[in-house]
Amino acid sequence: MSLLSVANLTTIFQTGSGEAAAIENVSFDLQEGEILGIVGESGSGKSVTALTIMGLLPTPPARVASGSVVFQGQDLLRLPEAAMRRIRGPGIAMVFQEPMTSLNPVFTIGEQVMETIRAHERLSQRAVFARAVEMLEKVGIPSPAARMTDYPHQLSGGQRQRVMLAIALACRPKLLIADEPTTALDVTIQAQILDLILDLRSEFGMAMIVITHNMGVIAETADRVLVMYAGQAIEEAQVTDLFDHPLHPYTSGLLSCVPTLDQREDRLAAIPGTLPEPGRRPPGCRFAPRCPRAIAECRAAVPGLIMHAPAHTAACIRIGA
Amino acid sequence: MTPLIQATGLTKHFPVRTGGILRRVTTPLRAVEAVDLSIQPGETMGLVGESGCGKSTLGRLLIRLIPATAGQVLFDGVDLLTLDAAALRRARQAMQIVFQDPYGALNPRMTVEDIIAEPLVIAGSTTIRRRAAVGEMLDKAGLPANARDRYPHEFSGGQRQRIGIARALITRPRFVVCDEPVSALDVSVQAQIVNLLADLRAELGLTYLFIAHDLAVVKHISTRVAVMYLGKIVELADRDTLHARPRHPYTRALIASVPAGHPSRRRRGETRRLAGDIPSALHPPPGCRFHTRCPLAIDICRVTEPAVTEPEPGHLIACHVEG
Ligand SMILES: Nc1ncnc2c1ncn2[C@@H]1O[C@H](COP(=O)(O)OP(=O)(O)OP(=O)(O)O)[C@@H](O)[C@H]1O
Ligand SMILES: Nc1ncnc2c1ncn2[C@@H]1O[C@H](COP(=O)(O)OP(=O)(O)OP(=O)(O)O)[C@@H](O)[C@H]1O
Ligand code: SF4
Ligand SMILES: [Mg+2]
Ligand SMILES: [Mg+2]
Repeated sequence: MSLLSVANLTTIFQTGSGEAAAIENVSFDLQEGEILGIVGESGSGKSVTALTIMGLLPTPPARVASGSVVFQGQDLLRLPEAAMRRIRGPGIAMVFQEPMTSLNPVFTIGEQVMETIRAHERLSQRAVFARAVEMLEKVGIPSPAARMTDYPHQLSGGQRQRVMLAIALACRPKLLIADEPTTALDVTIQAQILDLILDLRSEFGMAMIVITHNMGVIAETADRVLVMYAGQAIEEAQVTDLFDHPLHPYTSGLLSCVPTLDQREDRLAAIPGTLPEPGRRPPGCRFAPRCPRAIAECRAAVPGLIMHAPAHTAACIRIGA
Repeated sequence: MTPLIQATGLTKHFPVRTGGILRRVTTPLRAVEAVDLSIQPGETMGLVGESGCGKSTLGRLLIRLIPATAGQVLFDGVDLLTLDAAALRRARQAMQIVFQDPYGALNPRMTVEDIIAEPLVIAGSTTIRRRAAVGEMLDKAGLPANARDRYPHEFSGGQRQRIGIARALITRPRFVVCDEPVSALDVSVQAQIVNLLADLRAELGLTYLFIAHDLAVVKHISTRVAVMYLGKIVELADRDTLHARPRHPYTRALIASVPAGHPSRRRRGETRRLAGDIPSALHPPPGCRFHTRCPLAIDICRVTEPAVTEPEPGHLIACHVEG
């Protein structure tokens, strides 16, 4: 049985101009200890997918219109909030893109780490303190006992992200969702944090969902990859298969339009056009207006995700044509 | 050949209030410190480095958008400070800048035509000539002709960046500072803008300073690349040499930090990764500014600033150990 099984998840937002689906029919499975990368551009629905799983979207304006999120055998979408609160932390923990906004500026980092531990475990005050120091040490905060009394603004961006990880991992979650954990950081600090996340993953053996718009982060971390475009999952594959044999024209376009250090082309293969805005998504395949392979049929109906090779699915009617 | 841009000892200190409410002190924030840099006509000089290292400040100093604390910039051999008002205005037309933020950089209440033509208005050109010039620039920047009467909010990020480029190029500049022109754009749109800038460079014979924190983008578009750390250029070489044989420990670490392009080349745990955080530009470390994070640092690094040396022709580096 999978650790997490997401099926046909559709989340709709109530906006001034009516309802708009942020994500539509998103499905994927995650095994114990596996790292799933979710990659997509801005607005593709990565964060909404994560927040729907965590039950953290404000309702309204959000509404889960369909689907299930089965974690360790129970559908989280049917759990009352009190039960969900016991899942967040020891079951599923999350770190966010912007570490400053997710840490509380008026509490010390020590209080914030200890608070998380206390919320889920009955330990003596001294044991809670010791565990908090241990967590800060594990995430690479120098002199952790002395830094317990620091406030978030006294830390650098990289250190704040380390503290976020300490909080997320304090309850030894089975699954860690990291939503753009390094995007706000400088490259040398990004590399440190990615290394740290992967080291901690090996140590704690948890499963992970790594959300990013950066194919490089996917190449560095993921076992399997889900590619999203305009609110839909359009391809899913093992990471090497995805890089070597991308099936969806959007995935191939994305892989070839991003320059990498080891490639030497004089011109980048650009994808024409721009992302469709949420209210103005085209009928049929949402990538059709930008797709070099599109034919009239592509615009007629939304292509379903079809398995084209073992463990490799894609939503495009032109594959193999 | 006379360099198009030649900077010597270029320095910018921002006075910053430090200390408590009662004891106000100003401390100079050393954004750019004694930088020498020359850029040849027709080349694209890439400028990389982490946030706050002084890239934008250096770019602005080169085109005199902000005054320098010390040092000199020659544009085509001429010191702009010696020019009279009319000559300075002409010189300014020859130097333009494209900004990172395609949202903030455009006035939301002006039509696209007025935005693109603004540098010409300042230069005092006639309405008819301006309309014609805007039409030509819209075309060159890949924008539809009917864009001229619309407003910035009607355009996507990539299109707004095209508007910013059209505006920068309408005065037919010779030198353009591209300050992170694609960082704020969606990945699938970045390549369009990089290609557009490369095409316009060839078509109009432009010289660029191309600032970015993405090493791969810089490698792609540049002829030479300069690496900055805490207000100093620490290494400069032609782009292939810099990537194939980086010498400065910071450059090596920067390159080692870039995620792999393919899962078979994962770089996890590479030894050249840097420990520690970037120090504050208010109190840069003495000696070599990189010594607090440098894996090779020796005693002299902590006290004496390394001079720039040229171990191979055209390859400049400031490091006691590798220089
Ligand atoms: N609170 C909200 N109200 C209305 N629409 C929303 C809300 N939050 C997200 N959306 C919409 O849902 C869609 C998906 O957004 P989401 O934040 O999941 O994208 P993302 O893939 O995480 O993008 P990014 O890379 O920019 O973080 C977007 O079109 C967005 O406009
Ligand atoms: N007007 C100003 N007043 C005070 N300090 C400034 C000013 N402009 C820049 N600085 C400081 O100067 C240093 C260099 O800033 P600069 O914007 O040049 O860096 P950068 O390399 O362009 O960074 P980024 O990659 O974030 O754009 C930073 O420490 C910055 O905070
Ligand atoms: S001068 Fe010293 S501290 Fe600076 S980079 Fe070279 S070895 Fe490292
Ligand atoms: Mg997001
Ligand atoms: Mg800048």
